Amino acid sequence: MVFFVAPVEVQMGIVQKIFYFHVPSAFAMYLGWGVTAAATLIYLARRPKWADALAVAAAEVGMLFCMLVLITGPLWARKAWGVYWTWDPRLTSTLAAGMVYLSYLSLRSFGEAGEAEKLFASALALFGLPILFIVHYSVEKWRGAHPTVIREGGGGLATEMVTPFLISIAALLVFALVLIYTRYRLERRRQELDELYARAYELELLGEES
Amino acid sequence: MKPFASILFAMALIMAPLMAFAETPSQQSAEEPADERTALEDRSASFQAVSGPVTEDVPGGTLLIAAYIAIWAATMFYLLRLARIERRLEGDLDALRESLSQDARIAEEGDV
Repeated sequence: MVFFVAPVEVQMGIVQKIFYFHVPSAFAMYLGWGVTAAATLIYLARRPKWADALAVAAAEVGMLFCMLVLITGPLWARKAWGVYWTWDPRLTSTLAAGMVYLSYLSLRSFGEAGEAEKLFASALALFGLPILFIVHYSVEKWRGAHPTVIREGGGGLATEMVTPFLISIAALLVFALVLIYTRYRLERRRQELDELYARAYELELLGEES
Repeated sequence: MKPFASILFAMALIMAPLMAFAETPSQQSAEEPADERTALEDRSASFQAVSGPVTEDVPGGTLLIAAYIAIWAATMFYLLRLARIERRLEGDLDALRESLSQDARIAEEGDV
């Protein structure tokens, strides 16, 4: 639909079609990291293992979509602003949020994370949550170069562009949910396997733990 | 039939951005000169220096295709990562199963 139905924008031309990937990717990023924050809160409150697995899975998927936002955005900016990158509030806050969740994933990828690592990583995940609000509201609070086509109380999108845009959002959000679920299933299986190994050593069914 | 349909679908996905280059009738009419001009009149008769910063015409189509390729590449990379994690988990499970059966055999031989 983006290529066949959505019209070419009058001023920016064909490059504006990046918008149909860029903005839904940003929404999928919010979804991923929002789920991470919620699952982290549940984990900190009750310590269920599924919440920990869900937090890791959603953080990874959020990072994937953050990368897409940070790749497609500069490609659009090159045409619109003449530069790939500028230290605009929204761009800077998105980069900051990406670095926070990258730290979270790095910390969680150090082999089998212990309880201390998990707690520290949880703190990082919660620290990233207010940055997401800053990313979202930065264009309204601080006037930067980033467009404000999508805003509360209606946007400046041409009528013919609305349907392809909504379909793009729905498609990428569903895709993000599928990826989160798939990664969550794998993380749960890894947790179960670790438990089986621990139980086998405990019952002395296996040789000495190396 | 299924592989053929998959190849067609993949080709349609890859070629989709090219459709965006197709000019619509309204675009064509907007770009047509209002009056008939000769090739000589179209040609520049003088060169003038720019005032202010030098700007260049950035090809939007190239940037759009680059973005489209980047999206597919990142998605494929992540799907491959998921497949690798699954393979590793299966390997670990097989190793555990084998270790358990080996230890059980040793225990049985010890009993005998």
